[in-house]
Amino acid sequence: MARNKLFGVINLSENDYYMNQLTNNRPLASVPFLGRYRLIDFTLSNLVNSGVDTVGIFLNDKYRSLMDHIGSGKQWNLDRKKGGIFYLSPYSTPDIQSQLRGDLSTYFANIDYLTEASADYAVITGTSMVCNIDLKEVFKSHLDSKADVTVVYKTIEEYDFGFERCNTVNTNEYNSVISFGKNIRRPDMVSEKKKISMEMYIVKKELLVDMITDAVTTGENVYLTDVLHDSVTKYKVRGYAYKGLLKNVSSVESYYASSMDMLDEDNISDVFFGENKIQTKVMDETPTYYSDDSVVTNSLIANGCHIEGTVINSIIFRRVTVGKGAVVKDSIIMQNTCVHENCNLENVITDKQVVLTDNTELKGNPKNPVVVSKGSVL
Amino acid sequence: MKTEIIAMILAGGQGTRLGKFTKNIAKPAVPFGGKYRIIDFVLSNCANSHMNTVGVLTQYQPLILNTHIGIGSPWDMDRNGGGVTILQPYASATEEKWFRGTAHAIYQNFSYIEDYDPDFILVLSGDHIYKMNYETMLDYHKEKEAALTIAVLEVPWEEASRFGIMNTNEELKIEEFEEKPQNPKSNLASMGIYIFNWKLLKKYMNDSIDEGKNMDDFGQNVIPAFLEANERVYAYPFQGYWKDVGTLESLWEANMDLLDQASPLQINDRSWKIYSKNPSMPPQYLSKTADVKDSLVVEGCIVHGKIRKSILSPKVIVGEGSEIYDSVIMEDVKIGKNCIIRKTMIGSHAVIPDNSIIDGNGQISVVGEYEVYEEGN
Repeated sequence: MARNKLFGVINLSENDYYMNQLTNNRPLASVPFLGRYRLIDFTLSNLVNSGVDTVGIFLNDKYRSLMDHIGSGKQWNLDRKKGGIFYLSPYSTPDIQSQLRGDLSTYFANIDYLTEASADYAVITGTSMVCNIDLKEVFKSHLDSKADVTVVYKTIEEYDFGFERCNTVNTNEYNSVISFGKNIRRPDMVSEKKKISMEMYIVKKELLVDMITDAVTTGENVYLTDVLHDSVTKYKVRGYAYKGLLKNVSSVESYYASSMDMLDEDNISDVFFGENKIQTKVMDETPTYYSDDSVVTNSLIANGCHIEGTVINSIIFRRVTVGKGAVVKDSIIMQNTCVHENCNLENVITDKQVVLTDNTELKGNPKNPVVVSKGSVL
Repeated sequence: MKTEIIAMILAGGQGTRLGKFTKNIAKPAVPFGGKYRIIDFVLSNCANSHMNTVGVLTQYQPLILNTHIGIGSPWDMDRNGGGVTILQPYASATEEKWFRGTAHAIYQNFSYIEDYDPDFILVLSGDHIYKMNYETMLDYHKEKEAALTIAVLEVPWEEASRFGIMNTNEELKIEEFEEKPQNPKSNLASMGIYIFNWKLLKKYMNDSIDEGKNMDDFGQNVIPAFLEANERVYAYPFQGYWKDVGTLESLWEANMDLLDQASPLQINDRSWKIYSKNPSMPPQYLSKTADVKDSLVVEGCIVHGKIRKSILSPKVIVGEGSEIYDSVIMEDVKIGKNCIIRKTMIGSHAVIPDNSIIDGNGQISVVGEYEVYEEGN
């Protein structure tokens, strides 16, 4: 058995209530992001880049689009004989009826994945925290500190409002975690620097199994996240401060803001042109064509597009058509959308396969962008 | 294992007329159209025509070509039974089996073909840009009960003397073959695409070689032998875009043709996709100062400058104030600030320092792979 190795546990029970239509038919993990990615691409790439070769994805519902995207995991080199991708779905066992509420029963039903993994330490991670992180460093810190549980956090500035409703980590002066809380904005609250939990934990396999079994036995918690949070009362939980670029996607507003923040060469280089590459499913699209009439500035554009109009401060996914005279400003246009001639869009998010017929005008607000549901024809 | 037809792609050519671009790369592996290599077209044609057993014959500088093809996954050719096989010359107990010509290359790999016991073999060149359904050609071959079918293209009469010309009767049965005739009688040029009845080809080649006859080249030796023996040799007329990118001019032209949205090649036709190895790159970023028109740009580029009628490959960076016209920029090229580049092909990983001016006054300029451009070079 390999000593001191990590295996991956991707936790998909993430709050997508504020994502509105964007998660009507997909989990948060497969929300399209930055022109050609899905949120889970960052999670999978981070795991693989850190030497993880066994990844279990604990599914909840709505997972068709996720399975379609990941498939055998080939793109991440996870189509392995040894290890690779495991899809772990909720089901009832004779001992425990699958509950409608909570994800713990899924972990308990699939406890064999954990007990039989050929690595000693689990790295548990969600998909809402977008970053390019070296988990080897986190792991090293976990081993050095002899902690039972290590949680990764990011310290954010007072004026950073991008992490609303995220979990926070409260530490003492020795960087031991004493409690977890919620980042709720209240009118009477003084803003301050906060430590935002990145929902990434490293924990020894046996301990994780114990914690899950205990929780099922006592019935105290039905969510894995709560189990991990409550571990501060019994175990040594340490924080690991991540210093790199972090974007959160948990609401339409944060999705929009996080996307727009990436229209910056430094941020692009940070996330995509470092040593560790972010992989995604490839699609064999043609190069993007810019016509004589096109005007495109400060935008991220994927392959396979055909642009004849104006695109400013926007993110354009694969195979999007922008017709003559159309203006797309401060917007996110997902895969396969047709923006016909003379449309005028500002602060708009269109989901996949949307058709905007000639002269459509849509105008949102950066705080509240207009979202057009998948497949709509306007 | 029985397979109806095997495709054999000749990809060993050196392509000396592509100069700097084929110094370290076989011609079929030369980058094309922003994200492709030349051989992607013929491999994608095979994939789209359901030719699932494909041998690729490589010889000259095969490293990049072989790496590109790999186990054939981009073309869905990583499969059990068949799929893509790279066939390289090898040393045997009796001789070193270097490929002396097109037909000789096939002859050296008879054992590969025998393994599949095919009825037909399809011979293709790895260095042409076109889209063609080989299944339709096979149907035609069977319908004509031909021994050999040669795909032909109508070329302008004044250029006919540059090609191998097929003189046919009204039924398109080939009666005479002339290599680069001075006074062509027909303008049907061979495209170097052949379907042979495998058993006949094997017999002709084995017999002739036993008799000590030269059978190295399809055009020079094999086709004349078939015609001489009065075998049923038919021309299969092809209509559409076809380009042999054997020279710098034709490579540049073929790239520029992609910018023509009315071009019959239609690379964005989703029913006949051109597949390639796809790098993992973020979307292209056009900055606040970018000004891109009438161009093709792919993922991983960062553009601050002005681009007109040009093609940018993955990971190309164009600095602020730079202007690029009528050019083909290959992968991972760094172009500094305030450069002016006209009608230039820049090889992969080259570096163009700030303030460079590359302008051949209407002639095509070339910057080689990994070259750091210096003025007057």
